[in-house]
Amino acid sequence: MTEAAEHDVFALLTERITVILGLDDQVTPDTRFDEDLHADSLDLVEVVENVEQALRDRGYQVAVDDDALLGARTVGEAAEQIAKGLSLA
Amino acid sequence: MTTPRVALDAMGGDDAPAATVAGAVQAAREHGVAVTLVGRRDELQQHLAAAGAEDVIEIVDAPDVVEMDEDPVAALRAKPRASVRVACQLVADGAAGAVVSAGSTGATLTAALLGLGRLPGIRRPVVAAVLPVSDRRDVVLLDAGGTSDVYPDVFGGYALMGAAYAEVLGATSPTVGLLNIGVEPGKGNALAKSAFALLDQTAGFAGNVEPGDVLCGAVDVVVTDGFTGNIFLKTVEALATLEQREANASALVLGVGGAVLVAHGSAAAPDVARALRRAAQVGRAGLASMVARRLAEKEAT
Repeated sequence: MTEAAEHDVFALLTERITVILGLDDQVTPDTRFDEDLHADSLDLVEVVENVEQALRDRGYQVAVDDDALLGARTVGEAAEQIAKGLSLA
Repeated sequence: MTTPRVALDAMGGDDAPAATVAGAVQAAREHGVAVTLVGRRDELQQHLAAAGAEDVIEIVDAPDVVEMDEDPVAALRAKPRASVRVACQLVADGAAGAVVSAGSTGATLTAALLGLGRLPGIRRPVVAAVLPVSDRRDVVLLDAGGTSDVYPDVFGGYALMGAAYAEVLGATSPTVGLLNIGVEPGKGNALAKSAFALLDQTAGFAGNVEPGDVLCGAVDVVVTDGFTGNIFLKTVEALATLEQREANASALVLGVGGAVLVAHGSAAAPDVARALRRAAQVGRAGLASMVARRLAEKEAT
């Protein structure tokens, strides 16, 4: 997908991270899940499943590479992996 | 409030599905618990037929199973039709009021979180076990095995959830202890020291407690990481077995939007039946909702 799609995914991801994990911190593409957010793979997957559903509701097909996703260390890397798995339904 | 149907992850546990089906049949026949078995339909039907219970218990098909040696998060992503996840989804959809699983504790916690969502303000859902330390007193132990590696910032939430649970169980102004190797504030590893510093500002915090203090009922709630808590719980269970006392067969997941119970992996049919009865009681009492309300009240103050 396009760079614009990745930007949209990042915005969606950031919003869900803030709401679901109850964080007040500023989230940037370089924000690290473990060291900065104290979030583990369970937190990441809960957030990502929310993002995936929101993207499906917007008409996307979503097929994320889970190995690559679970290897993401930063929010930007996770957004990139989700965007790679997007296609228009 | 009516007694809810309980969705049983029939594929979870060391002796599943033989033990889970037998436990479900026992709970249904002897105690009137409405049970839905969730798992591989053909396999479950064979066990039900052998027990002559095909008309007593319904089955929801779930072709996949999370094995005990699998990473729970990766496995549940790869297997959206895993039995424990389908069981939690039945609660989310309103087809059941509680879940029991004797499978991987981590997988049950993960499925509960993904299927039911976390309650507002909860940083990390947790597995809470109740230790009957005397005739008159229960102690809530959390984390009993949900998350082994945590940062200290989860402990404030554990203390709040544990105190809310203890109040629902009957404690007034519950006290909270941090499981440690000594009672002095400077005791323990880096995690314990950091947790102590954070908990020191929490209402009801009574400081560090040693395992012996817990078993004497020194506090109403004891908090620790899931690794330490699981070892502590299993030690207590082993001692109860040696003394031929009955240990609690299940623990409750706190911090998610529904009633999910974790039974011991080695649960035999009577243990499964007891866990199903308890799940029905927990669901009927609205225990998870009561804990959530208490939690909201505490957070508002």
